[in-house]
Amino acid sequence: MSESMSRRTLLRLMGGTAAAAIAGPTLSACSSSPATSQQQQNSGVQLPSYIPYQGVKPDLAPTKDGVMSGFLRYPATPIVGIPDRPGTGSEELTAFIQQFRPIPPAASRNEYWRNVNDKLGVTLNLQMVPSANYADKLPTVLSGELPDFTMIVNTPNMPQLLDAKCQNLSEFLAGDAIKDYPMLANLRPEAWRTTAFNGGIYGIPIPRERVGVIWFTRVDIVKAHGLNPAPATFAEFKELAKGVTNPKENRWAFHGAPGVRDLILRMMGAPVGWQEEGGKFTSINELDQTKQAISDTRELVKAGYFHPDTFTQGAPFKDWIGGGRVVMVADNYSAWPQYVTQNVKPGSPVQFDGMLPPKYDASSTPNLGRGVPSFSTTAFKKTDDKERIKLMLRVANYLAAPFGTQEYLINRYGKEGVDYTMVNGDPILTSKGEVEHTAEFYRIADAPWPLYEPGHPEETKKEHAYQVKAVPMTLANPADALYSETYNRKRNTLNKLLDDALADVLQGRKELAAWDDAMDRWRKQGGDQVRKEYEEAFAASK
Amino acid sequence: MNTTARTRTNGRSPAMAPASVPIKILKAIVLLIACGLVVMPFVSVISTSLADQQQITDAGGYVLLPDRPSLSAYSSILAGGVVARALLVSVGIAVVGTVLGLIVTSAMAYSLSRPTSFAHKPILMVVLLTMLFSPGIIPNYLLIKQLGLLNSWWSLILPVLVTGFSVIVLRSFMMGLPPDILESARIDGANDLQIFVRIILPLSKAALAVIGLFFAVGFWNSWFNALLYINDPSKLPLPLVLRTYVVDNARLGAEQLSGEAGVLPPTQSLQMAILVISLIPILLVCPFLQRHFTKGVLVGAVKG
Repeated sequence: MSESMSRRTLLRLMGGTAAAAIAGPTLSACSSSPATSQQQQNSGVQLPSYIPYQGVKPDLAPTKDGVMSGFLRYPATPIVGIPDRPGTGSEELTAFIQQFRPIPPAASRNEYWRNVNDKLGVTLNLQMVPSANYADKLPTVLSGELPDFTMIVNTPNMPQLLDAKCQNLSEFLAGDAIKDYPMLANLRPEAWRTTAFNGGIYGIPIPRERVGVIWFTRVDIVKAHGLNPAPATFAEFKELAKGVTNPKENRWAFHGAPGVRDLILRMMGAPVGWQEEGGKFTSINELDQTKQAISDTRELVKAGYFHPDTFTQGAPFKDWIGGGRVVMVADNYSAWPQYVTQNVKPGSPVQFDGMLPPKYDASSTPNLGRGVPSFSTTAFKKTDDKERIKLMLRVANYLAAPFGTQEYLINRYGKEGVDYTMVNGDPILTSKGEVEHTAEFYRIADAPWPLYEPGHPEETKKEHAYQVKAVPMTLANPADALYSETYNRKRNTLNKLLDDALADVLQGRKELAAWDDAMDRWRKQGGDQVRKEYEEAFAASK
Repeated sequence: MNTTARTRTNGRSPAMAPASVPIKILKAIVLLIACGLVVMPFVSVISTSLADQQQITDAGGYVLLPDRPSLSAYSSILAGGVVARALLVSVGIAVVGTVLGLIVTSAMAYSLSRPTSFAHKPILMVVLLTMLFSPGIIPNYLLIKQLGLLNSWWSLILPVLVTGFSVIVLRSFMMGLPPDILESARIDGANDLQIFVRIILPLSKAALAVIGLFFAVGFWNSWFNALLYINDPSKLPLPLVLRTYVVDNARLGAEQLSGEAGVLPPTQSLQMAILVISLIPILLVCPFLQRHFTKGVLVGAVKG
């Protein structure tokens, strides 16, 4: 697309999202059944070979089913994983990324950033947008010339967008071609699968782990009440909730009623996301199990086991569980280090652990939802310059260097003595490092996550032990590997419809029957179309 | 002379007679409660910004009076110079934008307030249209890009330099000025520019103060245009930088937190400190404009 703004361009852009506009011609070409077409094309994509990086030996071994590597200390002599600088020092690359933390100082006043640029041999410019406003800014970025790297998260018309403006990387990455980039070869195939579009590999995945959501529990509080922090049955779970709740002491069992609903579904052993039986898809929200779980959660809300402000948006639940105001919360596995560093101090009784779902009844087999394999895709700007693509891949390879390497220290912690110091074998950020290292290069390319709690090796062991039990219980959403354009486009609307209905029922504003009405609306407003697209895509993948 | 007559002689109506002591005490209590209700949230915000994690946990979120006040939340936010620089950027944008906005808006309002000025009706229609229709994000973005203003502070000022609302308000005010004054000035030989600068602007001080305050607050709070048009972190204005603290709960990207993170200020303190920082400049400006602001409001009230 030309950079100048023609009348046609303007009208197209005004008529829909930039992605839709860019993808216009391509979209019409495959409008008959884009999901089927995508699945047929993608099922034949040759993914990069998986070659786990062997340069660093973890203290606690990973497992094939997805338990993460554990490290009790940072390796005393970090290995140099990438001997050569990716660039020559004269190249410049730009990346558009979501910013999840405060904006860092600009590179000119940021030693950490300059050090990364120096080691890369590339001037890496970051266009950072606060994560909450990513969807607002992305269309403007897509409406012009793309930056070299673009972080893409669930945008409408993704296949068409990638086809029109982004580079097919299959030639450089498929099969053993990835051996030129050993740190990228260290990413699991299930993460690469999320980058397969239009019959090719259209980016770098930002990998995430299988463990997913954890039920963080303040074990010290539970034990102090003489209760079992690992209840075996739903009845025991309710006893636990009742036992630890005491409004006079400003303490409640839970924060997050939707999370408790999900936990009860896991107790029942319900499917995750969608149920697939013989090629027929049923949303988990349509199952009787969900209605039962909502009903049970409503009873727990009525019983007063939830923090009174639990339904407030943006509730500071991390502070609540840290301060002992709530005893159990659902949070992502990535939150564990934060809970530890902010709350577990020498002499403090605070103890966290993950709770596994107890049995709902005698016949149930509890499970856990598997984490999505990738958080986002880093797309490369389309270009005929193969050397530039290779340079970008070398940069991504450097940024994906795993824990234990010198490159990881540079990418995550900065310059020793300036941004961090080694204390008892752990890199500890200085106050300068705290401010500077919020430049999130790992949104461009990331390594598999390690289990690592600086200064708290016993917590690392605890997390590893939890994962050894939890990860084999995880169940993937069958729709995770499928593409639905309707869901990509209507995701927010459909989810909000159900979230609002759930909040109404749980807070007692409406009866349980309101959930059925909401599901009717959900089907009409796009749920049935999503189901149809998943079924077609599933059939095409066979 | 009866009592009423005596009261009137003293210049007071019966309603204004001195209240009894119990009534005075009651009034004082009511006023104190009312003031307390207004002041308390401010005190709580400032106190929480000075409190540590333990006090926030004990108080259940908001602290009324901190036991061990600490400025760590402020020093944390201001460390690295990002917020301090963004503060300067925002002050610059607010000052330049407000001055330019007032110049352009008042000139336009004056010309549109003169019934004899050239094509004032079609131009007024165009101004009104901007209040009814918005061009949308992407066309605006493309326009800014075509003008070469991406990554420039002018992209935050020029698109909102003239707003239909301000022009209409100021135009209405200027239309209410006595035409005799303008006529006499013209008879004395003043041209339009002289009339505008020497007569219209001084007489419109109250309205200009109100519009100026609107401009200043608008520029100070604007973040969305910065989100779209500014990529260089050193050029970002304060609201956008602070938003990353508030929206994403500050340093909560857990994966890189080190042992030192344990001594970081609590999230609640950081967020309240951000509120205080973002409020201070506008709070400082308000008292200076309040006198004119009151006049501006009263002009319409006593007219007629």
